[in-house]
Amino acid sequence: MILLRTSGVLYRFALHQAVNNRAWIMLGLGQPVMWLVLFGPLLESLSGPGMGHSGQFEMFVPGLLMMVALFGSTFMGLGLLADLRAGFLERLAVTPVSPVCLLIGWLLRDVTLLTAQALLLLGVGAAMGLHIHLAGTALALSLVALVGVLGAGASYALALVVRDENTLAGAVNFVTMPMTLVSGLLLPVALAPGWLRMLAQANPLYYAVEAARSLMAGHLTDAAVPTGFAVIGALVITIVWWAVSLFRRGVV
Amino acid sequence: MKGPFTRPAGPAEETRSTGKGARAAAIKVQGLRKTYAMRKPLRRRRDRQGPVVEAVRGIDLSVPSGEIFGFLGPNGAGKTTTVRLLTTLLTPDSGTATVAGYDLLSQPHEVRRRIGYVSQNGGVNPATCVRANLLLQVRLFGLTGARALRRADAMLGLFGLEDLAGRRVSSLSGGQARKLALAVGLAHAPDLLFLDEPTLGLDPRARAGLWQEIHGLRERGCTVFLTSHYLDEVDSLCDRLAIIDQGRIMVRGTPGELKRALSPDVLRLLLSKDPGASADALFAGLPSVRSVRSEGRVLRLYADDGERALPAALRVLEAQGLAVDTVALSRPSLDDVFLHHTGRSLACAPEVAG
Repeated sequence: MILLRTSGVLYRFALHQAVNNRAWIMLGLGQPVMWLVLFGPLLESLSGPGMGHSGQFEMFVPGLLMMVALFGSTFMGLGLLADLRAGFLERLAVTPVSPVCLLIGWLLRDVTLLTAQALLLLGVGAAMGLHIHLAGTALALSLVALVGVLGAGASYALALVVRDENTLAGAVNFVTMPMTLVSGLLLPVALAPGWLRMLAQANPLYYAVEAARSLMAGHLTDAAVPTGFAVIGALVITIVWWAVSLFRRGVV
Repeated sequence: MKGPFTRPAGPAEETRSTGKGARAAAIKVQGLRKTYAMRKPLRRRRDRQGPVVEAVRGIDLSVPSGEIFGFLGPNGAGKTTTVRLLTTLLTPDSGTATVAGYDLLSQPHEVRRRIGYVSQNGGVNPATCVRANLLLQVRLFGLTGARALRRADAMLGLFGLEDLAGRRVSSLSGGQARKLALAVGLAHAPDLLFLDEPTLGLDPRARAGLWQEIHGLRERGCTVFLTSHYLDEVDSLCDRLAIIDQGRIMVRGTPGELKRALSPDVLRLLLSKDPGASADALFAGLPSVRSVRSEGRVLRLYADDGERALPAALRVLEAQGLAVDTVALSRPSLDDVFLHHTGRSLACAPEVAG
């Protein structure tokens, strides 16, 4: 109970901190919408395997959701390092509070922010003609939350290991860039040559994108759906376990 | 060069004060040690072991409850390491300590419940507002709802921060941010407060304001352990102090005790030229001079009776052909105590009153 209450207190504080940051709100909310408005129309004239049979947005929006989940979460470790530099984490370490509560509060905050971004994206998409399948979209949002926990958890853990902003940013880019490229996030992997399709099979984000596409198209019983949840779920458990063990050792 | 008055203020102090008004020690430390191995990152594992830094080399301390205790020393003396050890942020290599009534090593959780800590950089979250930081602190210590709000507002009032409640912390001045850090460190009403260099980098006005706040803590029954390298800060704020240098405590006592132990009077003479290494020997014949310190052109004579020693000292210098530019007779300062026990002066410039 105390663990939950403390996590709640830290969650509220972290959310207050994020909402206080005007720049983040503009960038965090503006960027996905920009993708949708400025990049979406380019897909209109494309045709090929995996394209065309449904509207472009039905293919593109689930990919964008996953991109938001990945890019909105994997840089969260920078915030941890800023709090570390300010001595804020040190002060928390001299309270009876378990550092794990801090991790829980932060992850909840990150999921909240991602959900807000995702809802905005869906709203703009709907205004531009995206057909929204309610149950499928709700499940897709839960997958977005899981990918967010995965990205943020890895980012916090990595931040505690490297303890340097530049190293962390470099490492995050090094991992997320190829993950984005071979996930079929912007264009379906079905367009790719065979070897690239093989490579995509090793990319967890690929399964998340595939599952989100099936879900948002209303195909809730596609095999891609349980596969996506299983792959991401297993990774979330692994990464959160890693992060918890690092946080337990102390953040300062 | 041990002074006659360097009685350890440890257990003896306590047995002496077992009568009415007896107070338990808020901090009791024995043989505390901490060494850092400077690890070189990104080397092969076996090459990583770098030089070892002995930050704290066996410290014994006893801080009576309800007092302001000063830990005086230059940068790198081991002050911050000691504070980080006593606040459970670091684990000692050896030694034992009781902090706020609980064993530091086996009950760190209980210790954390009862202490407040204000680090050098304050430890306040810069990206949030003033009130949010206070609220977070009281909520983390278990206050909820209206009680938490009341407590946060009370702290704002106590430190005169009401008008800044909604301001972003990063927009505060240095003095305001320090005040907030102090308010946050006290928000949960700890029995014992650790302040690491509380006035570092503040202007004189802000320092005076903060001193007043720290003075006020004692009246509320809070024990304060503060580190500082400012002599005037320790002299005017602290009931008791320890001088630390290179990880060891050189001497401890009340400011008055330490100064009196040195000598009743000190003569500061500014010579027109450096007297050289022989200065100490010149005054060997003067009966009232206890000891002599020379630093460049500045001579300090510690004397039992300064008024009589002064003309005698001037005659000695004249006989040697050493001209005296200025002379001052005063009581020893804390810097004299520091110089006596560490062999170095902590004040930036040799102070010879004009």
